[in-house]
Amino acid sequence: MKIETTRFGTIEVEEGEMLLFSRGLLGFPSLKRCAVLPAEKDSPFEWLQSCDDSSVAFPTANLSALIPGCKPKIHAQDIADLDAEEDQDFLLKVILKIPAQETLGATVNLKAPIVINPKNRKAKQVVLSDSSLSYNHPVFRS
Amino acid sequence: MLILTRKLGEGITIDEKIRVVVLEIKGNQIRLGIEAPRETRVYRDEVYKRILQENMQAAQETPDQVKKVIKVWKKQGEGESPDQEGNSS
Repeated sequence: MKIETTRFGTIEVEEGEMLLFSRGLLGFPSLKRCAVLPAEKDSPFEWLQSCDDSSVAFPTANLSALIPGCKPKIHAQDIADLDAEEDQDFLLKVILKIPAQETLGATVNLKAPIVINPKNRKAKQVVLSDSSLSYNHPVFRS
Repeated sequence: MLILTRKLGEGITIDEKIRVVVLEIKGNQIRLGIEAPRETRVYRDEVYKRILQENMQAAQETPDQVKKVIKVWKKQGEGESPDQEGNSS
């Protein structure tokens, strides 16, 4: 289906490839369906573009590509919400934030990643209880 | 705001589906037990507000800003240290 977006113009998205947020993202409860748009080839960065609101999109990064080996523990409740199995693999995306005029200060929100069940594309922004995880984890080494 | 006084072990029921019970009182800390339907999302206030704020900010980013991040990212991957290019206005 064709989707109008304010950032990327009109894009074509397969409905079978959309991420499905049954409850939206925090602060964006109406954001139920998202298209994943790679920001650039060979980079872990992607845009999550809302298919329900042309003006809403979030820059994200694939956690496994951004921080190899980072496998945070996901709550059983969240796993159940995604109709997933405890021992299955998930895709994790972290939301990217860039301070104005300060590319090197870019951070990702490790505390509240987006967990995706690749089997059914159900997705949820979860809150991880590990207190060592930061809301502002730096993307770049200083 | 509705204000109710409860003792240890007492609780309140909200909307016939959500129950909040005072489990422990220790100094200025109170432990609450919450029983709610599976789909009810319960957050500590400060966590909820923080994530909301982070999401709102992230939704303001532009493709240009993200491109700059990718440029620096690719440079780092090549083993070079990021230079001022990534900080251009």
